Amino acid sequence: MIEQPIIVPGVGTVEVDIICLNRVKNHAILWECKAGRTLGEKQAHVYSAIKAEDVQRTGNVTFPRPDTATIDVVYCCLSEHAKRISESFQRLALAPPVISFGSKAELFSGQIRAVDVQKRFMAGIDLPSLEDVPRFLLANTQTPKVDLARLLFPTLVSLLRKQVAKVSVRLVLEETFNDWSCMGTDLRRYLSDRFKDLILDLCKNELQEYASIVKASHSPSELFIEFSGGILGSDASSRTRAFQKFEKLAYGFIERIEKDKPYEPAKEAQSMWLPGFEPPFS
Amino acid sequence: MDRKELALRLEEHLRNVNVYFDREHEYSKGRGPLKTYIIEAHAHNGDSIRSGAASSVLFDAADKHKLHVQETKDKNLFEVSRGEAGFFFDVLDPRFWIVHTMSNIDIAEEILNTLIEDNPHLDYAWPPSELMRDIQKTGRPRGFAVDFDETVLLPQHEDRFEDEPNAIVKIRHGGTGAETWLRRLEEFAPSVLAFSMVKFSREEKITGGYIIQELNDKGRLKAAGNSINLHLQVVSTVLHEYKSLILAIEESTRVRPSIEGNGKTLLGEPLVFDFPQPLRDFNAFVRELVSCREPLKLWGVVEEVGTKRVHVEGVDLHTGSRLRFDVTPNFMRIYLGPRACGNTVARLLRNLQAHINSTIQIRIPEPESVE
Repeated sequence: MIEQPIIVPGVGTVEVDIICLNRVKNHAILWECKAGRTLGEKQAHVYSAIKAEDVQRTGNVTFPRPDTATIDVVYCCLSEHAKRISESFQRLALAPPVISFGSKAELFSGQIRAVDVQKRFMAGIDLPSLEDVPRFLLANTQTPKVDLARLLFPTLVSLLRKQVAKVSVRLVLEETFNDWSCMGTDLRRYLSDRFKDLILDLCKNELQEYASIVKASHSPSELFIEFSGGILGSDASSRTRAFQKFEKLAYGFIERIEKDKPYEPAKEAQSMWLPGFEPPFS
Repeated sequence: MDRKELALRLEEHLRNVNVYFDREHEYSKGRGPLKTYIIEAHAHNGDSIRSGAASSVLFDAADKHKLHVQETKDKNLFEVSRGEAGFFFDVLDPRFWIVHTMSNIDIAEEILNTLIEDNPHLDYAWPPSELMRDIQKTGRPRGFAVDFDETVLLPQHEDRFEDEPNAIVKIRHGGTGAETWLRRLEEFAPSVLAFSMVKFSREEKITGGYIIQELNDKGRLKAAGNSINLHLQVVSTVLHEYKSLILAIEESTRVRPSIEGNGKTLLGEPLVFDFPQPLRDFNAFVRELVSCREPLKLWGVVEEVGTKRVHVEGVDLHTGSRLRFDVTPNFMRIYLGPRACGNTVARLLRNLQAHINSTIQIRIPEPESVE
C-alpha cells in the first residue's frame, strides 16, 4: 500500500509512505521515507504510538490473524542524513529503526522486530546509484501538476491510437499508473482530482477538436472522455502527421501548465523539442 | 478443406516452385516459393484473444479490407482471398497466427502489409538477429543477408558517415560458402551483422524429403523442396522460439499489481537494452526514437533529467501500448505496462540491431513470484 493514512486515536494521523505486509508472518512494516534530514516531531510521536490494530482499522490492511498481528515502523533516509535523524529521535526519547541509503541500504540505528529483515539490513543490501533505480512509483500527493500533465497526455494518445471511443477518468489513471491498485485512498483521490482538472482543461483547449467530456448519467461527478471518430486519418502518412501534431500539442500543454498560463490557440509550443534536442536547422 | 488437404496442396506447390528465391518477384502465382508468415494478434482493445475468438478478429480485420474469408472443415483454418491473392490462415494459436500463401509475393505482401498497418492489434513477428541465426543452425546454412544502416536513426544531412568504416552494410550471399564469408565478417565487423535473412536446408534421409528455407527479419519463411512436413516442422520451431521469447519478456517485465487476498504486490521489472558502444549522437537518437516515423513508430514526450539522460513517456503507435523509457548514451530502460505487448520490445530490438549495433541484446530480469 502506498501513501496510506493511519489514525491513532488521541494522538494524530500519519500518511505512511509504504506498507508492506508479510501474510505468512502476520507482520507489517510501515515505511516512512525522509527526503531531507529533519523530523516532524508530531509525526514521530504518532508513528511511535501506532499499533497493529490502528493499521487494520484505518489503514485498510487485513492481517490473516488480526489478534496476533505485529508491526514495525521503519524510517529510511539518505546516508548523509542518517546521523542527524537518529540524533533527533534521541532528543525525543524515541528509537525507531533508521535505515540509511547510500551505496548500501543498512541499519543505522534502532532495531527491527522482524528478525530476518533486521539481519538483512544489518548486513547491508547493495544499491545501485540513485539514477539507476527504476522508476516504479511515479507520483505522490506532492507531485506537481506539470509532472502529472506529462504523464496524462501520452495515456490519452495511447487510447486514441487504440481507437477507444469513450473512456472513464478511472481507466486513464489505471493506464497511467501501473501501481494504481496499490495506492492508498488519499493518493488516489489526489491524482484523480488533478487528472480531472487537467482533462477538463485539455478537452476545452488543446484537444478540443479531438475529445469532449461526458458526465455519467448515474453519477454527474464521474467523467468520461469521448474521442471524435476518424481523427487519425485513413492512410499511414496522415496518421503520422496527426501524431506529430499531438507531440507538439503535448509540449505546449506541459509548458502552459508549468507556467500557469491560459491557453492561446495561435501560440503553440515554441518548439516541440526540449532545448538541445531540436532537429538541426529547424 | 481440412489440414490434410491443405498439406497436400502446399506440398504439391513446393515441388513445382523455382528455388531461386531472389528472383521471386518475376514469378506469378504458382511458381514462386511457398511463403509462411507469423502474425501476432490481439483483441481490438489490445487484450489477449480468448480461445476460439481469433476467427472473429480475423473476420473483422478482413472485412475492412474486402478480403473474402471462407471457413473450412477445421474451425481454426480459413481460406482468405482477394483478386489473385490467396492465403491460408491458421489461428490454432489465437495469438500467433500462421499464414501460408502461394501467391505472387508483391501482391500478397501488399495485402498483408495493409492489413497489419490498418489494424493496430495485428503485427508481424520480429525475430532478433541471434534467434534467426539459431534457427538457421538447426539446418544446413546456405546463405544470409545483412542489412545494417546507421543513417536511418540519424539526421539525413549527417555527413560524418563518409568517414565511418561500416555505416551502411548490405550483403546478400547465397550458397554454401556463406559460412566462411560470415566468419570473416564476424572478425572485423561484428556490430553490423544484423541479419535480414538466413537461408538453410533440412533433409530427411530415410524419406528423401528436403526443404530449403529463407527466414527473414519479419518472421517470414520462404520454402521450396518436396516435404511439407519438413516445412511445417521449421514453422513450428520458429513459432515456438519466438513465442517463448515474447512470453518471457512479458512475464518478467510487465509492471503489474498482483493481488492475492488483501495483499498487493507490484511485480515485474523494467528490461534494459545495453548499448555496446555509447550512442554516437544521443540527441539525434532521442529525436528519432519519438519521431512517430517508421521504423520505430514511437510517440513520446521527452523530459531531460540530467546531462545525456532523458525520461520518455511514450506510446507504441502500432499497438497503442503505453510505454516509458529511461535513455542514456549507454543504455535504454523500458517499462512495460500490465497489458503491454512483448512484440513491441522485439520490434524495437530488431530495429536497434539493424540501425545502431547488431550485438544489442535484451537484459531480461528473472521472473518474480509472490512468496
